[in-house]
Amino acid sequence: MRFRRVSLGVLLLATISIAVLSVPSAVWAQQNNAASAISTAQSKLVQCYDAATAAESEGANISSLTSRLNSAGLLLSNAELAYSNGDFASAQSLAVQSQSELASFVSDANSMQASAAQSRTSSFLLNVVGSIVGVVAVIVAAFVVWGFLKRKYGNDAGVQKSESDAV
Amino acid sequence: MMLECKKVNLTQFKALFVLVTAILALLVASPALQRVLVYPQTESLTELSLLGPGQTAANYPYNITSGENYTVFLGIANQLGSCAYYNIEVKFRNETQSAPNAFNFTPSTIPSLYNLNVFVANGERLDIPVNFAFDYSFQTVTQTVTTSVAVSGGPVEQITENAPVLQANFNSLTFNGETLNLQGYTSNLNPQTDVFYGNLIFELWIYNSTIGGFQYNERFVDLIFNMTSAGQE
Repeated sequence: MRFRRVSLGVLLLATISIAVLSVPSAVWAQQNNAASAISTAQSKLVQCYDAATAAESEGANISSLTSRLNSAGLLLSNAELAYSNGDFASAQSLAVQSQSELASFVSDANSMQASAAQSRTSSFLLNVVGSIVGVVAVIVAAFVVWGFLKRKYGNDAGVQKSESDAV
Repeated sequence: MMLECKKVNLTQFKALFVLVTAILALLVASPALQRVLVYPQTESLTELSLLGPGQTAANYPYNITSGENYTVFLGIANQLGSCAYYNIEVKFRNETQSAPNAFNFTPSTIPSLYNLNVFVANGERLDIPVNFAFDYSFQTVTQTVTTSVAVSGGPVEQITENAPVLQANFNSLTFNGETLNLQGYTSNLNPQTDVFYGNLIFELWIYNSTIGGFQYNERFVDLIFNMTSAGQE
């Protein structure tokens, strides 16, 4: 009987100890998860920012990209605030939302970059090559016109001839 | 027969002909020249501004009432030549706490209450509406106060004594719907100006990909408040 009481006591003590110890452990795990989600969201934001900058450098209009970055940035700001307030569940949720906001962002930015690069090449061909061809055409045309004028009006510069002189 | 047949002096028109050809060539070449002639960017900077509720530099909130909402607009214009990743650190301080230094270009050493991640494309400007409300109350606390007393005919004496001081105790700051904890923030009544000083600061930090972190961009804007208007006991 006494052994049973002692056993029950030990069992109860062990249960309470596990319960008490598991609470900080669960909180710690939640905190760890939130910190990890925030860190991933921060890395993702930087990665997307780099992709947007690359697209911009090719001449793409990145207003739609910066708008998405700002939405994700706001969610990340709120996730960091929730984390500092000890609300780890909200922090994790907001950090995950921030990452979701940027899903397919890099591929979109890369596609915009490629499109901008293509447009840039076409524009280069049209402007630079077109201009060079145009300039050559203008110079050639000028020579042709000058030659035509020379043939028609002669090249006796500075002399006004009159038939009466010849007679 | 005195038939006169004048021949045109082409040499007289040669210069004009060359000039017209050159102008035409330049006109045709202008799209290409536009690409070749890249004008250097004279200024490379970020503009940080703070506008009042009407998005003008007027009517900034000064007399603050606890629990009342105020709106200002934080403007960021990027003239850096490429898209920038900014971090706005929101800080609140009283008269005695560390402030950002505009001459030494150093930020305030007090911890930020909120960090706002902002992206602005090159040549663009972003105006962020900032809605805020303070929650605070007043109480009288006993503090050690040192006063200078000039005795007639004698030297100035420093007297240290415990005296009741009226103090504003801040509970929270609601910033764009987010509640920021201001527990432990206080502001004593300034006997000279008769105000409870409050200073809301927005510091601009910029992401540096070389170091992989944010650096203080040596810019800040702030609002100075008089917290005396509300619930003074």
